[in-house]
Amino acid sequence: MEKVIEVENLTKDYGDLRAVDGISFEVYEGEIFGFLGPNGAGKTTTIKTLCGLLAPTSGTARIAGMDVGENPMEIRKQIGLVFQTSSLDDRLTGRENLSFHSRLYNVDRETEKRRINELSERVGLQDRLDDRVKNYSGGMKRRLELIRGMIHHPHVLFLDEPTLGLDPQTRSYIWDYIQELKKREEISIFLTTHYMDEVELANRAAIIDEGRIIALDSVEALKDQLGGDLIFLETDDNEKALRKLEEEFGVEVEEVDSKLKLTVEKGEQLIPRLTQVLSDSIKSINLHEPTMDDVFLHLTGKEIRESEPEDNSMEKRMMH
Amino acid sequence: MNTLRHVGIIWYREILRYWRDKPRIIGSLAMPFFFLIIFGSGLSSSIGQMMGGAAEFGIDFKKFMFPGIIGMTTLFTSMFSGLSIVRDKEYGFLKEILVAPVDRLAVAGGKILGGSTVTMIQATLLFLFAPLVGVGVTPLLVIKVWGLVFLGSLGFTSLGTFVGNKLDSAEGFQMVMNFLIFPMFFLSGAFFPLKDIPSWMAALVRINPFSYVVDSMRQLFFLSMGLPSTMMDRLPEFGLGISLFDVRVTILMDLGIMAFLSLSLATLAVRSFHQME
Repeated sequence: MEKVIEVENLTKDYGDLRAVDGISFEVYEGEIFGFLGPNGAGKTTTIKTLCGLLAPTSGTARIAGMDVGENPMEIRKQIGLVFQTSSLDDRLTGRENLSFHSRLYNVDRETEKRRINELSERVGLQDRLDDRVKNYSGGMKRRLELIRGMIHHPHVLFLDEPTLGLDPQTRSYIWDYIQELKKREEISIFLTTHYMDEVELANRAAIIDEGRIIALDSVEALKDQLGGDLIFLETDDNEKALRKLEEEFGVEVEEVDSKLKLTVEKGEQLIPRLTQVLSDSIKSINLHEPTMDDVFLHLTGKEIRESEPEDNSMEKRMMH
Repeated sequence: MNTLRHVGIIWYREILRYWRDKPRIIGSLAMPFFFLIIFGSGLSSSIGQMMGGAAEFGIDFKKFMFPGIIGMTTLFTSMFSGLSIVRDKEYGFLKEILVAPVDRLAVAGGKILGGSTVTMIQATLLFLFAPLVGVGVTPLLVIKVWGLVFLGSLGFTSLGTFVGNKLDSAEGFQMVMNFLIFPMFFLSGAFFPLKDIPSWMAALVRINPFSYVVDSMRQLFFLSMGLPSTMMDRLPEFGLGISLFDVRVTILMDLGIMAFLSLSLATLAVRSFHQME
Protein backbone atom coordinates (compact mmCIF):
# COMPACT_ATOMS: atom_id res chain seq x y z
CA MET A 1 0.00 0.00 0.00
CA GLU A 2 1.04 3.55 -0.73
CA LYS A 3 2.35 5.58 2.17
CA VAL A 4 0.80 9.04 2.45
CA ILE A 5 2.61 10.15 5.57
CA GLU A 6 6.11 9.10 6.56
CA VAL A 7 7.62 10.44 9.74
CA GLU A 8 11.11 9.59 10.89
CA ASN A 9 12.64 10.58 14.20
CA LEU A 10 10.67 13.79 14.36
CA THR A 11 11.59 16.07 17.25
CA LYS A 12 10.26 19.50 18.12
CA ASP A 13 11.54 21.68 20.96
CA TYR A 14 9.98 24.85 22.30
CA GLY A 15 12.94 26.38 24.07
CA ASP A 16 13.80 23.91 26.81
CA LEU A 17 10.60 21.96 26.40
CA ARG A 18 10.70 18.91 24.15
CA ALA A 19 7.14 18.69 22.86
CA VAL A 20 7.74 15.87 20.39
CA ASP A 21 10.57 13.46 21.07
CA GLY A 22 11.85 11.43 18.14
CA ILE A 23 8.64 9.90 16.86
CA SER A 24 8.41 7.70 13.75
CA PHE A 25 5.34 6.33 12.03
CA GLU A 26 3.69 5.83 8.66
CA VAL A 27 0.15 6.33 7.46
CA TYR A 28 -1.11 4.36 4.48
CA GLU A 29 -3.43 5.36 1.69
CA GLY A 30 -7.06 5.11 2.67
CA GLU A 31 -6.71 4.35 6.35
CA ILE A 32 -7.85 6.16 9.46
CA PHE A 33 -4.83 6.57 11.67
CA GLY A 34 -5.46 7.48 15.27
CA PHE A 35 -3.11 9.51 17.40
CA LEU A 36 -4.12 9.05 20.98
CA GLY A 37 -2.80 10.75 24.05
CA PRO A 38 -3.61 13.11 26.88
CA ASN A 39 -3.51 16.89 26.47
CA GLY A 40 0.00 18.20 26.17
CA ALA A 41 1.30 14.88 24.82
CA GLY A 42 2.44 16.53 21.57
CA LYS A 43 -0.47 15.75 19.24
CA THR A 44 -1.16 19.25 17.99
CA THR A 45 2.55 19.98 17.65
CA THR A 46 2.87 16.89 15.45
CA ILE A 47 -0.01 18.03 13.24
CA LYS A 48 1.39 21.55 12.95
CA THR A 49 4.76 20.15 11.92
CA LEU A 50 3.18 17.84 9.35
CA CYS A 51 1.26 20.76 7.85
CA GLY A 52 4.39 22.86 7.59
CA LEU A 53 3.20 25.40 10.16
CA LEU A 54 6.12 24.56 12.44
CA ALA A 55 9.64 23.65 11.42
CA PRO A 56 10.87 20.45 13.10
CA THR A 57 13.90 20.72 15.37
CA SER A 58 15.21 17.50 13.81
CA GLY A 59 13.98 14.50 11.86
CA THR A 60 11.94 14.34 8.68
CA ALA A 61 8.30 14.25 7.69
CA ARG A 62 6.99 13.50 4.21
CA ILE A 63 3.49 13.85 2.87
CA ALA A 64 2.63 12.19 -0.44
CA GLY A 65 6.36 11.71 -0.92
CA MET A 66 7.24 15.37 -0.45
CA ASP A 67 9.36 16.65 2.39
CA VAL A 68 7.28 19.10 4.44
CA GLY A 69 10.11 21.59 4.76
CA GLU A 70 10.85 21.74 1.06
CA ASN A 71 7.63 22.44 -0.75
CA PRO A 72 5.13 23.87 1.71
CA MET A 73 2.76 25.25 -0.95
CA GLU A 74 2.45 21.91 -2.77
CA ILE A 75 1.91 20.10 0.52
CA ARG A 76 -0.79 22.49 1.66
CA LYS A 77 -2.78 21.65 -1.47
CA GLN A 78 -2.53 17.95 -0.58
CA ILE A 79 -3.91 18.25 2.92
CA GLY A 80 -7.13 19.26 4.60
CA LEU A 81 -7.16 20.43 8.16
CA VAL A 82 -9.89 20.57 10.77
CA PHE A 83 -8.59 22.45 13.76
CA GLN A 84 -9.12 21.73 17.40
CA THR A 85 -10.93 25.02 17.92
CA SER A 86 -13.30 26.77 15.57
CA SER A 87 -11.81 28.52 12.55
CA LEU A 88 -14.89 29.84 10.77
CA ASP A 89 -15.84 33.41 9.92
CA ASP A 90 -19.16 33.69 11.70
CA ARG A 91 -20.11 36.91 9.98
CA LEU A 92 -20.18 35.06 6.66
CA THR A 93 -22.64 32.36 5.62
CA GLY A 94 -21.73 28.69 5.48
CA ARG A 95 -21.56 28.86 1.71
CA GLU A 96 -19.31 31.92 1.79
CA ASN A 97 -16.93 30.15 4.17
CA LEU A 98 -16.75 27.16 1.82
CA SER A 99 -16.39 29.38 -1.21
CA PHE A 100 -13.57 31.40 0.37
CA HIS A 101 -11.75 28.15 1.05
CA SER A 102 -12.26 26.82 -2.49
CA ARG A 103 -10.86 29.98 -4.00
CA LEU A 104 -7.81 30.04 -1.78
CA TYR A 105 -7.15 26.45 -2.86
CA ASN A 106 -7.66 27.30 -6.56
CA VAL A 107 -10.70 25.08 -7.00
CA ASP A 108 -12.43 26.13 -10.21
CA ARG A 109 -15.93 27.59 -9.97
CA GLU A 110 -17.73 24.59 -11.40
CA THR A 111 -16.02 22.09 -9.13
CA GLU A 112 -16.58 24.46 -6.22
CA LYS A 113 -20.30 24.49 -6.81
CA ARG A 114 -20.55 20.74 -7.26
CA ARG A 115 -18.40 19.99 -4.19
CA ILE A 116 -20.33 22.40 -1.97
CA ASN A 117 -23.59 20.77 -3.03
CA GLU A 118 -22.55 17.17 -2.67
CA LEU A 119 -20.60 17.57 0.56
CA SER A 120 -23.18 19.73 2.33
CA GLU A 121 -25.85 17.20 1.44
CA ARG A 122 -23.81 14.40 2.94
CA VAL A 123 -23.66 16.14 6.31
CA GLY A 124 -27.19 17.49 6.16
CA LEU A 125 -26.25 21.17 5.90
CA GLN A 126 -27.70 21.88 2.45
CA ASP A 127 -30.67 23.84 3.81
CA ARG A 128 -28.62 26.01 6.14
CA LEU A 129 -25.80 26.98 3.77
CA ASP A 130 -27.04 30.52 3.29
CA ASP A 131 -27.40 31.27 6.99
CA ARG A 132 -24.73 33.21 8.81
CA VAL A 133 -22.42 30.89 10.71
CA LYS A 134 -23.07 32.78 13.92
CA ASN A 135 -26.54 31.20 13.94
CA TYR A 136 -25.12 27.66 13.68
CA SER A 137 -25.00 25.20 16.58
CA GLY A 138 -21.69 23.72 17.69
CA GLY A 139 -22.36 20.51 15.81
CA MET A 140 -23.24 22.37 12.60
CA LYS A 141 -20.06 24.40 12.78
CA ARG A 142 -18.04 21.22 13.14
CA ARG A 143 -19.79 19.65 10.14
CA LEU A 144 -19.10 22.75 8.09
CA GLU A 145 -15.42 22.63 9.01
CA LEU A 146 -15.29 18.93 8.18
CA ILE A 147 -16.55 19.39 4.65
CA ARG A 148 -14.51 22.56 4.18
CA GLY A 149 -11.39 20.48 4.80
CA MET A 150 -12.44 18.13 2.00
CA ILE A 151 -13.55 20.52 -0.73
CA HIS A 152 -10.23 20.62 -2.54
CA HIS A 153 -9.88 16.79 -2.65
CA PRO A 154 -6.95 16.51 -0.27
CA HIS A 155 -4.88 13.32 0.03
CA VAL A 156 -4.91 13.43 3.80
CA LEU A 157 -7.40 14.98 6.15
CA PHE A 158 -6.07 15.99 9.53
CA LEU A 159 -8.65 16.03 12.28
CA ASP A 160 -7.32 17.60 15.45
CA GLU A 161 -9.67 16.57 18.25
CA PRO A 162 -12.69 16.77 15.95
CA THR A 163 -15.31 16.38 18.66
CA LEU A 164 -13.70 18.41 21.42
CA GLY A 165 -16.22 20.36 23.46
CA LEU A 166 -19.29 18.74 21.89
CA ASP A 167 -21.96 16.92 23.86
CA PRO A 168 -21.98 13.09 23.64
CA GLN A 169 -24.91 12.91 21.25
CA THR A 170 -23.37 15.43 18.86
CA ARG A 171 -20.04 13.66 19.10
CA SER A 172 -21.54 10.39 18.01
CA TYR A 173 -23.33 11.83 15.00
CA ILE A 174 -20.22 13.77 13.96
CA TRP A 175 -18.51 10.40 13.93
CA ASP A 176 -21.22 8.91 11.77
CA TYR A 177 -20.66 11.75 9.31
CA ILE A 178 -16.90 11.26 9.32
CA GLN A 179 -17.33 7.58 8.52
CA GLU A 180 -19.89 8.33 5.87
CA LEU A 181 -17.59 10.89 4.22
CA LYS A 182 -14.68 8.50 4.48
CA LYS A 183 -16.64 5.88 2.56
CA ARG A 184 -17.35 8.20 -0.35
CA GLU A 185 -14.04 10.00 -0.65
CA GLU A 186 -10.65 8.55 -1.43
CA ILE A 187 -8.93 10.01 1.54
CA SER A 188 -6.68 9.06 4.41
CA ILE A 189 -7.49 10.46 7.82
CA PHE A 190 -5.04 11.39 10.51
CA LEU A 191 -6.97 11.82 13.72
CA THR A 192 -5.83 13.04 17.09
CA THR A 193 -7.96 12.56 20.14
CA HIS A 194 -7.87 12.12 23.84
CA TYR A 195 -11.22 10.35 23.81
CA MET A 196 -10.39 6.67 24.03
CA ASP A 197 -13.56 5.47 22.36
CA GLU A 198 -12.90 7.59 19.26
CA VAL A 199 -9.66 5.92 18.40
CA GLU A 200 -11.49 2.62 18.14
CA LEU A 201 -12.93 3.91 14.90
CA ALA A 202 -9.40 4.01 13.48
CA ASN A 203 -7.69 1.21 11.61
CA ARG A 204 -4.38 1.72 13.34
CA ALA A 205 -3.36 3.88 16.22
CA ALA A 206 -0.30 5.29 17.90
CA ILE A 207 -0.40 6.06 21.58
CA ILE A 208 1.62 9.12 22.47
CA ASP A 209 2.62 10.24 25.91
CA GLU A 210 5.03 13.01 26.85
CA GLY A 211 6.14 13.44 23.24
CA ARG A 212 6.99 9.78 22.64
CA ILE A 213 5.10 7.03 20.86
CA ILE A 214 4.70 4.25 23.37
CA ALA A 215 2.68 1.87 21.21
CA LEU A 216 1.73 1.65 17.56
CA ASP A 217 -0.36 -1.11 16.06
CA SER A 218 -3.79 -1.96 14.74
CA VAL A 219 -6.46 -1.11 17.24
CA GLU A 220 -7.29 -4.82 17.60
CA ALA A 221 -3.69 -5.75 18.31
CA LEU A 222 -3.38 -2.99 20.86
CA LYS A 223 -6.36 -4.37 22.69
CA ASP A 224 -4.98 -7.89 22.45
CA GLN A 225 -1.96 -6.76 24.44
CA LEU A 226 -4.22 -6.94 27.43
CA GLY A 227 -4.74 -10.66 26.85
CA GLY A 228 -8.44 -10.65 26.22
CA ASP A 229 -11.73 -9.95 27.94
CA LEU A 230 -12.24 -9.55 31.64
CA ILE A 231 -14.99 -11.31 33.53
CA PHE A 232 -15.91 -10.21 37.04
CA LEU A 233 -17.87 -12.62 39.20
CA GLU A 234 -19.62 -12.18 42.50
CA THR A 235 -20.38 -15.44 44.29
CA ASP A 236 -21.64 -16.69 47.66
CA ASP A 237 -18.34 -18.34 48.37
CA ASN A 238 -15.41 -16.89 46.45
CA GLU A 239 -12.86 -19.37 47.73
CA LYS A 240 -14.82 -22.37 46.64
CA ALA A 241 -15.69 -20.85 43.29
CA LEU A 242 -12.07 -19.90 42.66
CA ARG A 243 -10.91 -23.50 43.13
CA LYS A 244 -13.68 -24.82 40.95
CA LEU A 245 -12.89 -22.40 38.13
CA GLU A 246 -9.20 -23.20 38.10
CA GLU A 247 -9.93 -26.93 37.99
CA GLU A 248 -12.56 -26.71 35.31
CA PHE A 249 -11.15 -24.09 32.91
CA GLY A 250 -7.44 -23.97 33.73
CA VAL A 251 -7.47 -20.18 33.79
CA GLU A 252 -5.88 -17.86 36.27
CA VAL A 253 -8.34 -16.28 38.67
CA GLU A 254 -7.68 -13.34 40.97
CA GLU A 255 -9.74 -12.00 43.78
CA VAL A 256 -10.13 -8.23 43.54
CA ASP A 257 -12.38 -6.21 45.86
CA SER A 258 -14.30 -9.36 46.85
CA LYS A 259 -14.93 -10.12 43.18
CA LEU A 260 -13.28 -12.80 41.08
CA LYS A 261 -11.47 -11.54 38.03
CA LEU A 262 -10.79 -13.82 35.04
CA THR A 263 -8.79 -12.83 31.99
CA VAL A 264 -9.99 -14.92 29.04
CA GLU A 265 -10.41 -14.88 25.29
CA LYS A 266 -13.94 -14.69 23.94
CA GLY A 267 -15.52 -13.98 27.27
CA GLU A 268 -19.05 -13.91 25.89
CA GLN A 269 -18.78 -17.60 24.96
CA LEU A 270 -17.48 -18.59 28.36
CA ILE A 271 -20.30 -17.07 30.37
CA PRO A 272 -22.92 -19.81 29.68
CA ARG A 273 -20.41 -22.47 30.80
CA LEU A 274 -19.52 -20.49 33.90
CA THR A 275 -23.14 -20.45 35.00
CA GLN A 276 -23.35 -24.21 34.50
CA VAL A 277 -20.26 -24.93 36.57
CA LEU A 278 -20.98 -22.53 39.41
CA SER A 279 -24.76 -22.78 39.09
CA ASP A 280 -26.62 -21.17 41.99
CA SER A 281 -23.70 -19.60 43.80
CA ILE A 282 -23.32 -16.76 41.23
CA LYS A 283 -24.72 -13.42 42.35
CA SER A 284 -23.59 -11.36 39.36
CA ILE A 285 -21.51 -11.63 36.23
CA ASN A 286 -19.89 -8.70 34.50
CA LEU A 287 -18.14 -8.98 31.14
CA HIS A 288 -15.68 -6.23 30.31
CA GLU A 289 -14.19 -6.05 26.83
CA PRO A 290 -10.91 -4.13 26.76
CA THR A 291 -11.11 -0.55 25.55
CA MET A 292 -8.42 1.90 24.60
CA ASP A 293 -8.73 3.26 28.15
CA ASP A 294 -7.48 -0.05 29.44
CA VAL A 295 -4.68 -0.06 26.88
CA PHE A 296 -3.55 3.38 27.90
CA LEU A 297 -3.76 2.51 31.58
CA HIS A 298 -1.87 -0.69 30.93
CA LEU A 299 0.93 1.08 29.00
CA THR A 300 1.39 4.20 31.06
CA GLY A 301 0.02 3.25 34.46
CA LYS A 302 -2.22 6.30 34.39
CA GLU A 303 -5.65 7.18 33.13
CA ILE A 304 -6.41 9.70 30.44
CA ARG A 305 -8.62 12.26 31.97
CA GLU A 306 -11.02 14.33 29.99
CA SER A 307 -9.60 17.72 30.59
CA GLU A 308 -9.65 21.24 29.24
CA PRO A 309 -8.45 21.95 25.72
CA GLU A 310 -4.78 22.69 25.28
CA ASP A 311 -5.25 26.38 24.83
CA ASN A 312 -7.88 28.64 26.27
CA SER A 313 -9.30 29.91 23.02
CA MET A 314 -12.57 28.04 23.57
CA GLU A 315 -13.07 29.96 26.73
CA LYS A 316 -12.05 33.18 25.05
CA ARG A 317 -14.57 32.66 22.28
CA MET A 318 -17.36 32.11 24.71
CA MET A 319 -16.63 35.38 26.40
CA HIS A 320 -16.98 37.40 23.24
CA MET B 1 -1.01 35.74 -11.13
CA ASN B 2 -2.19 33.39 -8.42
CA THR B 3 -0.97 35.79 -5.79
CA LEU B 4 -3.00 38.59 -7.34
CA ARG B 5 -6.12 36.43 -7.36
CA HIS B 6 -5.55 35.56 -3.70
CA VAL B 7 -5.17 39.25 -2.84
CA GLY B 8 -8.57 39.75 -4.44
CA ILE B 9 -10.21 36.95 -2.43
CA ILE B 10 -8.86 38.20 0.89
CA TRP B 11 -9.74 41.78 -0.03
CA TYR B 12 -13.30 40.71 -0.90
CA ARG B 13 -13.81 39.11 2.50
CA GLU B 14 -12.70 42.31 4.25
CA ILE B 15 -15.22 44.34 2.25
CA LEU B 16 -17.98 41.80 2.86
CA ARG B 17 -17.35 41.90 6.60
CA TYR B 18 -17.39 45.70 6.55
CA TRP B 19 -20.61 45.77 4.57
CA ARG B 20 -22.29 43.33 6.97
CA ASP B 21 -21.45 45.60 9.91
CA LYS B 22 -23.90 48.43 9.30
CA PRO B 23 -23.75 49.88 12.82
CA ARG B 24 -20.02 50.34 12.33
CA ILE B 25 -20.56 52.27 9.07
CA ILE B 26 -23.09 54.61 10.63
CA GLY B 27 -21.34 54.82 14.00
CA SER B 28 -18.03 55.81 12.52
CA LEU B 29 -19.65 58.91 11.05
CA ALA B 30 -20.68 60.11 14.50
CA MET B 31 -17.28 61.26 15.71
CA PRO B 32 -16.39 63.38 12.66
CA PHE B 33 -19.88 64.85 12.79
CA PHE B 34 -19.58 65.90 16.44
CA PHE B 35 -16.11 67.30 15.90
CA LEU B 36 -17.23 69.29 12.95
CA ILE B 37 -20.50 70.58 14.37
CA ILE B 38 -19.75 70.99 18.07
CA PHE B 39 -16.09 71.95 17.98
CA GLY B 40 -16.41 73.69 14.67
CA SER B 41 -19.34 75.87 15.77
CA GLY B 42 -18.11 76.34 19.32
CA LEU B 43 -14.59 77.39 18.49
CA SER B 44 -15.29 79.12 15.23
CA SER B 45 -15.17 82.66 16.55
CA SER B 46 -12.14 82.32 18.83
CA ILE B 47 -9.95 80.15 16.61
CA GLY B 48 -11.34 81.90 13.54
CA GLN B 49 -9.09 84.84 14.43
CA MET B 50 -6.13 82.60 13.75
CA MET B 51 -6.96 82.00 10.10
CA GLY B 52 -4.80 84.98 9.20
CA GLY B 53 -4.78 86.00 5.58
CA ALA B 54 -6.84 82.96 4.60
CA ALA B 55 -9.86 84.52 6.27
CA GLU B 56 -9.99 87.14 3.54
CA PHE B 57 -10.79 84.35 1.11
CA GLY B 58 -13.73 83.14 3.15
CA ILE B 59 -11.95 80.39 5.04
CA ASP B 60 -13.37 80.08 8.52
CA PHE B 61 -12.61 77.53 11.21
CA LYS B 62 -15.15 74.99 9.97
CA LYS B 63 -13.77 75.10 6.45
CA PHE B 64 -10.30 74.79 7.96
CA MET B 65 -11.38 71.75 9.92
CA PHE B 66 -13.11 69.88 7.11
CA PRO B 67 -9.95 68.54 5.39
CA GLY B 68 -8.58 67.79 8.87
CA ILE B 69 -11.66 65.71 9.61
CA ILE B 70 -11.17 63.73 6.39
CA GLY B 71 -7.59 63.22 7.52
CA MET B 72 -8.79 62.13 10.95
CA THR B 73 -11.12 59.53 9.45
CA THR B 74 -8.29 58.30 7.27
CA LEU B 75 -6.02 57.90 10.28
CA PHE B 76 -8.56 56.25 12.60
CA THR B 77 -10.17 53.92 10.07
CA SER B 78 -6.83 52.82 8.64
CA MET B 79 -5.15 52.19 11.94
CA PHE B 80 -8.16 50.34 13.37
CA SER B 81 -8.42 48.12 10.30
CA GLY B 82 -5.57 46.20 11.94
CA LEU B 83 -8.22 45.00 14.36
CA SER B 84 -9.44 42.61 11.66
CA ILE B 85 -6.29 40.54 12.01
CA VAL B 86 -6.65 40.43 15.81
CA ARG B 87 -10.28 39.31 15.41
CA ASP B 88 -9.21 36.63 12.94
CA LYS B 89 -6.76 35.41 15.54
CA GLU B 90 -9.33 35.41 18.32
CA TYR B 91 -11.94 33.62 16.24
CA GLY B 92 -9.42 31.18 14.78
CA PHE B 93 -10.04 32.17 11.18
CA LEU B 94 -6.42 33.22 10.72
CA LYS B 95 -5.38 29.55 10.98
CA GLU B 96 -7.57 28.77 7.98
CA ILE B 97 -5.82 31.49 5.98
CA LEU B 98 -2.31 30.65 7.10
CA VAL B 99 -2.48 26.93 6.23
CA ALA B 100 -3.91 27.60 2.78
CA PRO B 101 -1.54 27.38 -0.18
CA VAL B 102 -1.36 31.16 -0.33
CA ASP B 103 1.67 33.41 -0.39
CA ARG B 104 1.86 35.53 2.76
CA LEU B 105 2.41 38.52 0.50
CA ALA B 106 -1.14 37.96 -0.79
CA VAL B 107 -2.52 37.76 2.74
CA ALA B 108 -0.82 41.03 3.66
CA GLY B 109 -1.84 42.65 0.38
CA GLY B 110 -5.48 41.64 0.72
CA LYS B 111 -5.70 42.84 4.30
CA ILE B 112 -3.99 46.17 3.63
CA LEU B 113 -5.94 46.93 0.47
CA GLY B 114 -9.14 45.89 2.23
CA GLY B 115 -8.42 48.37 5.02
CA SER B 116 -7.60 51.08 2.49
CA THR B 117 -10.81 50.47 0.58
CA VAL B 118 -12.89 50.71 3.73
CA THR B 119 -11.05 53.93 4.63
CA MET B 120 -11.82 55.40 1.23
CA ILE B 121 -15.51 54.58 1.60
CA GLN B 122 -15.63 56.15 5.07
CA ALA B 123 -13.77 59.23 3.88
CA THR B 124 -16.13 59.61 0.92
CA LEU B 125 -19.15 59.49 3.22
CA LEU B 126 -17.80 62.62 4.93
CA PHE B 127 -18.65 64.65 1.85
CA LEU B 128 -22.23 64.37 3.11
CA PHE B 129 -21.25 66.96 5.71
CA ALA B 130 -19.67 69.34 3.21
CA PRO B 131 -22.83 71.44 2.69
CA LEU B 132 -23.14 71.93 6.46
CA VAL B 133 -19.81 73.75 6.58
CA GLY B 134 -20.16 75.42 3.20
CA VAL B 135 -17.44 73.50 1.40
CA GLY B 136 -18.04 73.21 -2.34
CA VAL B 137 -17.55 69.73 -3.79
CA THR B 138 -16.62 68.95 -7.39
CA PRO B 139 -16.10 65.49 -8.89
CA LEU B 140 -12.47 66.38 -9.55
CA LEU B 141 -11.97 67.29 -5.90
CA VAL B 142 -13.44 63.97 -4.79
CA ILE B 143 -11.12 62.05 -7.12
CA LYS B 144 -8.10 63.95 -5.82
CA VAL B 145 -9.17 63.31 -2.23
CA TRP B 146 -9.45 59.60 -3.03
CA GLY B 147 -5.87 59.62 -4.25
CA LEU B 148 -4.62 61.23 -1.06
CA VAL B 149 -6.73 59.05 1.21
CA PHE B 150 -5.54 55.94 -0.61
CA LEU B 151 -1.89 56.86 -0.34
CA GLY B 152 -2.19 57.84 3.31
CA SER B 153 -4.28 54.85 4.28
CA LEU B 154 -1.81 52.40 2.75
CA GLY B 155 0.75 53.48 5.31
CA PHE B 156 -1.57 53.59 8.32
CA THR B 157 -3.34 50.34 7.42
CA SER B 158 0.09 48.73 7.18
CA LEU B 159 1.04 50.11 10.57
CA GLY B 160 -2.26 48.93 12.09
CA THR B 161 -1.87 45.50 10.52
CA PHE B 162 1.71 45.27 11.75
CA VAL B 163 0.60 46.01 15.31
CA GLY B 164 -2.32 43.58 14.90
CA ASN B 165 0.09 40.83 13.89
CA LYS B 166 2.10 41.35 17.02
CA LEU B 167 -0.81 41.34 19.47
CA ASP B 168 -3.31 38.70 20.52
CA SER B 169 -6.17 40.61 22.09
CA ALA B 170 -8.56 43.23 20.80
CA GLU B 171 -8.34 45.11 24.11
CA GLY B 172 -4.55 45.26 23.89
CA PHE B 173 -4.78 46.42 20.31
CA GLN B 174 -7.13 49.25 21.23
CA MET B 175 -4.79 50.45 23.97
CA VAL B 176 -1.77 50.46 21.69
CA MET B 177 -3.75 52.18 18.96
CA ASN B 178 -4.87 55.01 21.25
CA PHE B 179 -1.27 55.43 22.28
CA LEU B 180 -0.23 55.79 18.63
CA ILE B 181 -3.22 57.58 17.16
CA PHE B 182 -3.84 60.44 19.58
CA PRO B 183 -0.38 61.97 19.55
CA MET B 184 -0.37 61.75 15.76
CA PHE B 185 -3.80 63.29 15.57
CA PHE B 186 -3.19 66.20 17.96
CA LEU B 187 0.25 66.97 16.58
CA SER B 188 -0.87 67.16 12.98
CA GLY B 189 -2.67 70.48 12.76
CA ALA B 190 -5.86 68.64 11.82
CA PHE B 191 -7.65 70.39 14.65
CA PHE B 192 -6.11 73.79 15.22
CA PRO B 193 -3.66 76.04 13.37
CA LEU B 194 -0.07 75.34 14.39
CA LYS B 195 0.73 78.96 15.07
CA ASP B 196 3.14 80.16 17.76
CA ILE B 197 3.66 76.65 19.08
CA PRO B 198 6.74 75.80 21.17
CA SER B 199 9.70 74.66 19.12
CA TRP B 200 9.73 71.12 20.59
CA MET B 201 6.17 70.77 19.43
CA ALA B 202 6.96 72.16 16.00
CA ALA B 203 9.67 69.51 15.72
CA LEU B 204 7.22 66.75 16.66
CA VAL B 205 4.74 68.04 14.08
CA ARG B 206 7.41 67.73 11.40
CA ILE B 207 8.33 64.12 12.25
CA ASN B 208 4.70 63.12 12.55
CA PRO B 209 3.79 61.24 9.35
CA PHE B 210 0.14 62.16 9.73
CA SER B 211 0.98 65.90 9.47
CA TYR B 212 1.70 65.43 5.78
CA VAL B 213 -1.61 63.73 5.12
CA VAL B 214 -3.45 66.62 6.77
CA ASP B 215 -1.25 69.18 5.03
CA SER B 216 -1.83 67.77 1.56
CA MET B 217 -5.56 67.45 2.19
CA ARG B 218 -5.77 71.03 3.41
CA GLN B 219 -3.84 72.43 0.45
CA LEU B 220 -6.12 70.52 -1.89
CA PHE B 221 -9.22 72.06 -0.33
CA PHE B 222 -7.75 75.55 -0.05
CA LEU B 223 -6.85 75.49 -3.73
CA SER B 224 -10.32 74.30 -4.57
CA MET B 225 -11.74 77.14 -2.43
CA GLY B 226 -9.86 79.56 -4.66
CA LEU B 227 -6.87 80.53 -2.54
CA PRO B 228 -4.30 82.19 -4.85
CA SER B 229 -0.79 80.76 -5.04
CA THR B 230 0.75 83.81 -3.36
CA MET B 231 -1.48 83.02 -0.40
CA MET B 232 -0.60 79.31 -0.55
CA ASP B 233 3.09 80.20 -0.19
CA ARG B 234 2.34 82.06 3.04
CA LEU B 235 0.37 79.23 4.72
CA PRO B 236 3.21 78.16 7.09
CA GLU B 237 3.31 81.73 8.36
CA PHE B 238 -0.24 81.38 9.70
CA GLY B 239 0.32 77.87 11.00
CA LEU B 240 -1.86 76.54 8.21
CA GLY B 241 0.96 74.75 6.43
CA ILE B 242 4.29 73.10 7.12
CA SER B 243 7.77 74.24 6.23
CA LEU B 244 10.89 72.11 6.29
CA PHE B 245 14.25 73.94 6.51
CA ASP B 246 12.46 77.17 5.62
CA VAL B 247 10.99 75.68 2.47
CA ARG B 248 7.25 75.43 2.22
CA VAL B 249 6.06 71.83 1.81
CA THR B 250 3.99 71.62 -1.36
CA ILE B 251 1.41 68.98 -2.20
CA LEU B 252 3.97 67.20 -4.34
CA MET B 253 6.43 67.06 -1.46
CA ASP B 254 3.65 65.79 0.80
CA LEU B 255 2.92 63.06 -1.74
CA GLY B 256 6.59 62.08 -1.88
CA ILE B 257 6.83 61.82 1.90
CA MET B 258 3.59 59.85 2.10
CA ALA B 259 4.67 57.47 -0.64
CA PHE B 260 7.97 56.81 1.10
CA LEU B 261 6.29 56.21 4.47
CA SER B 262 3.57 54.01 3.04
CA LEU B 263 6.08 51.87 1.22
CA SER B 264 8.26 51.45 4.32
CA LEU B 265 5.31 50.60 6.56
CA ALA B 266 3.86 48.19 3.98
CA THR B 267 7.21 46.38 3.84
CA LEU B 268 7.18 46.15 7.62
CA ALA B 269 3.65 44.69 7.57
CA VAL B 270 4.43 42.12 4.85
CA ARG B 271 7.49 41.01 6.79
CA SER B 272 5.44 40.49 9.92
CA PHE B 273 3.16 38.15 7.97
CA HIS B 274 6.10 36.08 6.85
CA GLN B 275 7.20 35.69 10.46
CA MET B 276 3.85 34.37 11.64
CA GLU B 277 3.52 30.69 12.44
